[in-house]
Amino acid sequence: MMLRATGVRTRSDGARDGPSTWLDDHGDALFAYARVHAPHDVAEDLVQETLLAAMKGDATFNGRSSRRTWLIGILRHKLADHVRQRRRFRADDVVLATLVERSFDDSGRWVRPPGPWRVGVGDLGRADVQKALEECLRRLPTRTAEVFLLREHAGLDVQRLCQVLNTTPTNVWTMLYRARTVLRECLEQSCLTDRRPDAPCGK
Amino acid sequence: MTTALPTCRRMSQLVSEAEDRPLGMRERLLLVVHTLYCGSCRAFRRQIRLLRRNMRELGESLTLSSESRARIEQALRDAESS
Repeated sequence: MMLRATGVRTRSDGARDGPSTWLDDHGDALFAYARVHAPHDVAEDLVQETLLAAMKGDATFNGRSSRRTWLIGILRHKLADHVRQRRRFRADDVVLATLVERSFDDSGRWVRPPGPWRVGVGDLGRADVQKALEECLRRLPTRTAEVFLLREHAGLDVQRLCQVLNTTPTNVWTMLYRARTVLRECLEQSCLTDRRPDAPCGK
Repeated sequence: MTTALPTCRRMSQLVSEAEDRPLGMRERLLLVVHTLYCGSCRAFRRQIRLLRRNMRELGESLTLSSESRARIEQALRDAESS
């Protein structure tokens, strides 16, 4: 890529890292993260703003966190402004905890036991499945959706998640558990099982 | 001493946490025994793993299009040369 010619440093481990490689290396991760909170076009703008701000502030990168963690930190500031401006309705954490609680009866058994899904590994890229998933993701409280995406899409481990979100591992495990429980139930209800063969995906 | 059987509520938490941290010996044992006879928790594990895999291999909807990539590259170049 053209941009590659400028501003690339070689790290001690030999990998290239500089403003021009950030878009390639981290662009999708940043975009996916922004996309939880913002519509498509706004998410794009946020990624651009983040990379621009990162270029200007490169000197503040101390190398203690990974480059991606650092970039996501900048994106989070940009997002905070955006989310403050335009707040969608989302279940808050209390509601989410209640939702998960209601997945089990008093003796701790599943109320609606997870069943077989019609989709398998081969269907993962399917547009209707992705649409249903995005819709379900949007119903999560912001912070929970953040944790989920940072873990599962950006690929951060729990230790890094704690750094980025300034919280404890126990908290992160709980949020991931809640996110997964609610997402899988939402997906199951939207389209993925034989129990509701007529239910269209993505509705 | 009577020990209550671990509930699906508790075991599903372990199923999830097993994706994020190494479980202890006792936790692993509880989980193995539980998932031997509990098809619902096995299904839960299959589903969250499918979900994980899906998030890693997300399709177009969560990646930057080549147009937006080009646009952002241009903006970065402009900023760098100014």
